[in-house]
Amino acid sequence: MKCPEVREELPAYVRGEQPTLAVRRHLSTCEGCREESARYESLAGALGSLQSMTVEPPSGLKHALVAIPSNQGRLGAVRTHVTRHRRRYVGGAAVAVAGTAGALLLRRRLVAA
Amino acid sequence: MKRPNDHRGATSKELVSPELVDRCKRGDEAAWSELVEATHREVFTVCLRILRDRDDAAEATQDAFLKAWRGLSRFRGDSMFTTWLYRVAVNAAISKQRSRARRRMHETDTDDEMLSQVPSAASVEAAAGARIEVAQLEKALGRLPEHYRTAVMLRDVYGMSIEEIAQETDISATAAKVRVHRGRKRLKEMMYPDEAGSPQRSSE
Repeated sequence: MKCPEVREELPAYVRGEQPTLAVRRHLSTCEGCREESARYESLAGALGSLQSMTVEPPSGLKHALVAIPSNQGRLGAVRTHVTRHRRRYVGGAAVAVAGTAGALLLRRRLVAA
Repeated sequence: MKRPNDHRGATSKELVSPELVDRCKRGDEAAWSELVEATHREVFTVCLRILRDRDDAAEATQDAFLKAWRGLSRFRGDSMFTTWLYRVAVNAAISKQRSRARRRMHETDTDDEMLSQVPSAASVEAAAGARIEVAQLEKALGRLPEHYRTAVMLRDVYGMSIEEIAQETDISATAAKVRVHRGRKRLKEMMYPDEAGSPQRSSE
């Protein structure tokens, strides 16, 4: 197998997926393709770590979610609530961009060493 | 160095006990409030990663929790509640993705910035001691075509299987596999632009 064919297949071999025998043979002799394979592994690892990194939602969203049981069965009421809030969110976003990083607070559970 | 899956803080998985879910099923609003507190950031973030728009993500989050509240009686506890809730969230976000008009492109740019507002020190250790900057990775994800991004995100960020992705995005398993594959390739080219060229040497 030549490098270009191997490189086409490399994106599949992350997260424990085993390369075919032909690909493994090629990797054992080709440093360039081994490095390329390692890049995909690194990327998969980094992507996996994103799951624990969350973005702070707009203020008011939690309140609307908590209120769902008292609004249940009245989809119209919930929907109106959402629509009414949409304008506020847009306004809020403008304020956040203009002034403060408050809305952008990122909860980072993963502590990189 | 901590492994990506080694979370020191309490995760939503730990905060949502089966007892809490049972109380919610019985209509306990205090329990629901606790459940919302434990899970809403993660649900919002999944929706934001798919939709790249805070307003749309907020609406999808509301749709997801509304659906979760109504579907609670059908949740039988054979899977983790948070896993089920994630699926409901992904479903709500993808429905919104389909239904929304291609509007407000400039705001989408703003939201890519928002997802990039990770503390600058945030990087994850990659192989051979190299580090990947989280902000750079979020930005690259944002530049992927939508259907590639959704597929890579569901597979590599949220660990969904190819079959689950196919089901959620309403495509065949083969198509889902192709999207993940091409999405990873494009993402690699964006993250390692210098090495994107042809191999230095050709060997058997």
